[in-house]
Amino acid sequence: MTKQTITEKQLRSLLCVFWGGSLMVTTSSSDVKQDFWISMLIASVLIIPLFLIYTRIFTLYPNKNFFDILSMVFGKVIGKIICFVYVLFTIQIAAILMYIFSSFIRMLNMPETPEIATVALISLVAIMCVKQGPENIARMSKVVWEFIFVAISLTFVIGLRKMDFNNLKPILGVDLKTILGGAVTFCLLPLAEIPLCLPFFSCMDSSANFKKIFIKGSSLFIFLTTLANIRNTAVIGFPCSNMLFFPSYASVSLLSVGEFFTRFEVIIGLNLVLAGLIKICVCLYTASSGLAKVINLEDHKPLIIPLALITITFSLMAQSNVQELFRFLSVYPIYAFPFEIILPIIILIGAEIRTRTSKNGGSGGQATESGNQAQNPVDEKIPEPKHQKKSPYASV
Amino acid sequence: MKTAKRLCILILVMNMMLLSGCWNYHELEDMSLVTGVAIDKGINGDTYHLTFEFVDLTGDQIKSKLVESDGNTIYDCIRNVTGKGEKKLNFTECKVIIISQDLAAQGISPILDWYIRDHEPRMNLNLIISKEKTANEILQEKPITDELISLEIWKALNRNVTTLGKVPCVELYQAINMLSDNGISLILPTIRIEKLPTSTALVLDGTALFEGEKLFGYIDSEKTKYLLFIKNQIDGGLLLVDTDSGKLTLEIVENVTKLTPKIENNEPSVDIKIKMRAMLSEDQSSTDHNTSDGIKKVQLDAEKTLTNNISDLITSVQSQTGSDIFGFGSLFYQNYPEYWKKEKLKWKEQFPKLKCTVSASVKIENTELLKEKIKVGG
Repeated sequence: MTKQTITEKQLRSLLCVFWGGSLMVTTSSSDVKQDFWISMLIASVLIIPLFLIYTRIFTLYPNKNFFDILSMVFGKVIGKIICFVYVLFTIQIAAILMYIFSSFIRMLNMPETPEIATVALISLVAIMCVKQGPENIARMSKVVWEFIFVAISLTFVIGLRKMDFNNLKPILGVDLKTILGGAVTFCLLPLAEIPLCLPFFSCMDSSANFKKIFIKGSSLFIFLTTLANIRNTAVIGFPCSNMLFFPSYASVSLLSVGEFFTRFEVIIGLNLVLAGLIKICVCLYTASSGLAKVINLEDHKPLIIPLALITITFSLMAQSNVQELFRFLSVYPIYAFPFEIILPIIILIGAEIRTRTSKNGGSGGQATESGNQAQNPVDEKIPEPKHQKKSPYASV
Repeated sequence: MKTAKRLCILILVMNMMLLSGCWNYHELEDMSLVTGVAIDKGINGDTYHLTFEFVDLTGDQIKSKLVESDGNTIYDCIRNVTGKGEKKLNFTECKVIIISQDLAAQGISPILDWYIRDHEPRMNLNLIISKEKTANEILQEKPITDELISLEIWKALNRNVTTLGKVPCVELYQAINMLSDNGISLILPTIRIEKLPTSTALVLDGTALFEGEKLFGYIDSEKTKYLLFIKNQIDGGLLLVDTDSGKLTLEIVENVTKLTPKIENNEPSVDIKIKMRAMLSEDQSSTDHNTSDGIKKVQLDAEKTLTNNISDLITSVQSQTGSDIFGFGSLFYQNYPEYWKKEKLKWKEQFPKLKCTVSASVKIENTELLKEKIKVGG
């Protein structure tokens, strides 16, 4: 199999679209009221240390898959356990997303279509995308990102006539604690979900500047979400913008150019569907490649369909109604904190220690080689069971 | 193997043709497009009595048809219609909701819940209070220029902002924002049937005032204009000015009202600054105002008219009720959030004591086509 490569630009837009996939949930944070855009700006600063952590991990282990890094750092058993936990987390995120997705379509457009139909169709497309590999998803996301960018900027410009910027007042009317809380929530809900798209980073050239990708991508994304959030609050006004499940959809539905061009909300619907699709693809790819690492498969493709089916079932079973989901999302930051913040830090510390010890042990010139050789057998041991396991697939 | 593959593809393609189609596909012929709804109190023990006006698509011409139904909730009424005709009502094109005053006096928020909750009605439909006994009578009237009465009301309402400025235009989401805000009270436009010597016609006229969610009074169209001046919702319309020698009419080109809340020694006050550009459109007075001095005099008179009428309106509203129809409370919320946190619950007592200073500056841009006015007998 030829190695697929992703350009920096593609990866940046992949990150942006990936974050944008859960945009529809995060816009409805009710505690922070009108000041949510301030929270978002603060979040963009708060998230930078995490970006640096990931950059450091990837400079320590250039061109290595994230799941490989796990087993290198923690050893085979613990590495696999952590890997498996990440896979479960990824599937859950994908399931939540799928649920929001299907309920969005069900509530706004097609109330008589059963949820399973929309979900099945979406995951069918997602399965096909993931089968083509990471490069395909990255390319798709570049196109989608451009579409989203144009759509949101366009609706903002059209909406200017209907906006009442007094709706944004009082600026900093909520106390600082609530705003910071909103910022942390926004950090954890879309921004810190990067572990879910880390396998894509191993497709990059080693010369790629990850720091630049992270910072540029996140600032672009924050800029766009802030624009969308300001548009929603300024057009609909408070508290209506907080009452609705999908404020973007509602605010854009009020816009018009003259009396002829109306009902732009289709664009927003399309935005959410496209971004959601990309996010589901990313989650599926990560989950399948992670699971392949856990059970020592060389190829992740046979796992895509089973994982997609598990995701569908999970998305329909995990919550009985939308309110329950939103209640879960309110405690989600606490739930996701270990996965998104603590584990990366532990991995970084482990990685630092591992690389240092292997270097220290090899203070003499030859010992470095022996240290590398000591690692190599571990790497080489993995392929052996792979061939054993792969053979049954070849016969099928 | 190859033939099996081809067969599979063929079957799939055939399936696509046979089984595809939208789940939610609705033919236009199967729907009744509702354009307006009138909501009344129920008659025979039911809570609501709804009248729907919908587009009749059977003939070559667009015609209006009415259907009535009773029910215990709004949605119940809507579904009960299905038992009366073959078509299902569709609310995506609904433009106006007319609510009878009896129902509005009981509370308006239960009525609005369905309209904002359901996905079919749009958030920018207009709410109107009927001054007649029932809202049904409004929809029974014959339209003058349009085919459908509710479309005519809707067009009149949306256009009179620019040419009349005597009726507030409130959309559903704005009404809900006002209802849930402590610092501003809901106002809605009113409609009534005007009985003229030879005909009857619908008139949009004046404003219905709400305390909380309950209707408690009206103000007439002349006062509504000054209310709209305070709310900065004047985009056009006329301003009548009394001078010593007769009446003048100014046509408003542009108006900007700036409200500045102030707190001095814990005493709130509001500064209202009106900046208006206008044209001298009619002069019925006996003196000629088409001179630079005359125009200055007209400007002064217009400023006086504005400030007097606006302060009169504010004091009369303040003396009658504690409900803040001007939205001064939300001004304080927006600019002094700390103050508002303390006063939020006491605003009802605070509002009648609020001091307002009004100042206006009127600029007359031209006197239209006339250089000099008609001089009788030279």
